[in-house]
Amino acid sequence: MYLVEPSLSDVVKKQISFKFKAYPSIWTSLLVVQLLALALGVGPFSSGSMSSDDMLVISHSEISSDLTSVFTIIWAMLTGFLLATTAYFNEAFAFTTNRISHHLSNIFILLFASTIAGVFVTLTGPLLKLVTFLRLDSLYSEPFDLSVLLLQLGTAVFYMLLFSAFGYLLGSLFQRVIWIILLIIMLFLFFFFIFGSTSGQTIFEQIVQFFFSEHSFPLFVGKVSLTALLFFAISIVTTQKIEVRK
Amino acid sequence: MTFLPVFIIIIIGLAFQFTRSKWIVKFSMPTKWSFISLTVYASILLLATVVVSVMDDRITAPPLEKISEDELFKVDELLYNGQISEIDSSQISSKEVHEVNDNLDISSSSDYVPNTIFIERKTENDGLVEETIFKPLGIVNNNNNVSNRLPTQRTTWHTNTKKGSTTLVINKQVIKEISFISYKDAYLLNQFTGIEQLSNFSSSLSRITAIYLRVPKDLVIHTNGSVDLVYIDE
Repeated sequence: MYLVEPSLSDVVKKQISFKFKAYPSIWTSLLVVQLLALALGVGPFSSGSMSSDDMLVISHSEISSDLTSVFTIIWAMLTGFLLATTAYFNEAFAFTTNRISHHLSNIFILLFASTIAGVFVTLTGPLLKLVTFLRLDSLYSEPFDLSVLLLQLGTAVFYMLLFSAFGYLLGSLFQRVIWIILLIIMLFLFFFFIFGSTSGQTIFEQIVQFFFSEHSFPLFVGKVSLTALLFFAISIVTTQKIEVRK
Repeated sequence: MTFLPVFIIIIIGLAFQFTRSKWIVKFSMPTKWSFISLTVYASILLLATVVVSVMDDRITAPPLEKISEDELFKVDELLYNGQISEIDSSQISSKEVHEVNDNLDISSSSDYVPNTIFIERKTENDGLVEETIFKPLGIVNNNNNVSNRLPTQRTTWHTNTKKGSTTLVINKQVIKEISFISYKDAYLLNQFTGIEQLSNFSSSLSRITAIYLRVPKDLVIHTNGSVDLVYIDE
């Protein structure tokens, strides 16, 4: 019997607000990852030279934001994983919460973090171009186009969401039974290395093709959204029966 | 690609070990400074984006001129066929007229690929050689034209009236190094943009300066083997 019965949405909102301030390491680690990737990526990622007829020597240096995107994807997966692990799980004990509100607030934190990470990854490109221009000279690249930038931003955000959701799922499964990770490793090794379909591609390659070979952005958004939803749903279901605090 | 799952598992294992470690707490930044740092970084990124969008013309080098496969060897083909008049005048670097005696000694001071000189005989002996120098050709990755960045070889003419001979020396070919810096967006980001990224410059093709001489009918031409002579009308 309550004087004021808290609604789920109110509890989740409060938790989001508290967790936002209580987990500064998420944002700090994002910053560190970005700066590290920039420091490594500001030099030419690849370079080469060749000569022809002893008259012409071509040297080509290429700057790319591939490193930043890879580092940030790893960060997104790790953040999702860490949010579901014991340390953060036990911290939830301090909040007025149940499993559902705990997960919902985590999901919103991950959504926000994915958005921020996606924006950072996309805007790293212009920064790299500017730094290269100031250090060296004008460079060959596609001209700036705002519509392209926005499309890249959307792509980056959804990829971060996908990987953070996957990391969260793994972290949640790990909470349930530690040895399940060993089972997952064995399944990975079996399905991804050995078992293939009639087309000759392994299951892993087919999963990668499912997302990375998509050419329609709306379809891609649908695929990622449903996959992330599935991952989060499994995470919620598998951690329902875990004790409040170990 | 096939080792990516193993890589993912290793990363997760490291993360698990990291979370169990007590020293993680020492690296936590106060919340206020976390947000300030993040805001500063975001501002820098936004500022860079605005600067790049405004100064795009200066930052982005003009694209390399494309050249079709038909045009690649057009000048060479017309030269070998003696169709000099059909060569576009934009391909000509210089045109000069030189007085000659009865003999012409041609040599090259280049240590590399021998120059090819195209020779056409006139119908009269007017004691004049009309020299046309064609620009060199430089192609990168099959269709990117960098010819305007290559130096044109020059010639030195000297007349020895005592010996009654004229010498033509093709000056040493300068090796040209051309540097390109290019920027490529992350592969993932361009999944839906349809942008074809600039590929690595992995091949090049070049032709050194071509020289065409229109010589008097009975001029005797000597060479020491450092140049290849192609007689157009023979």
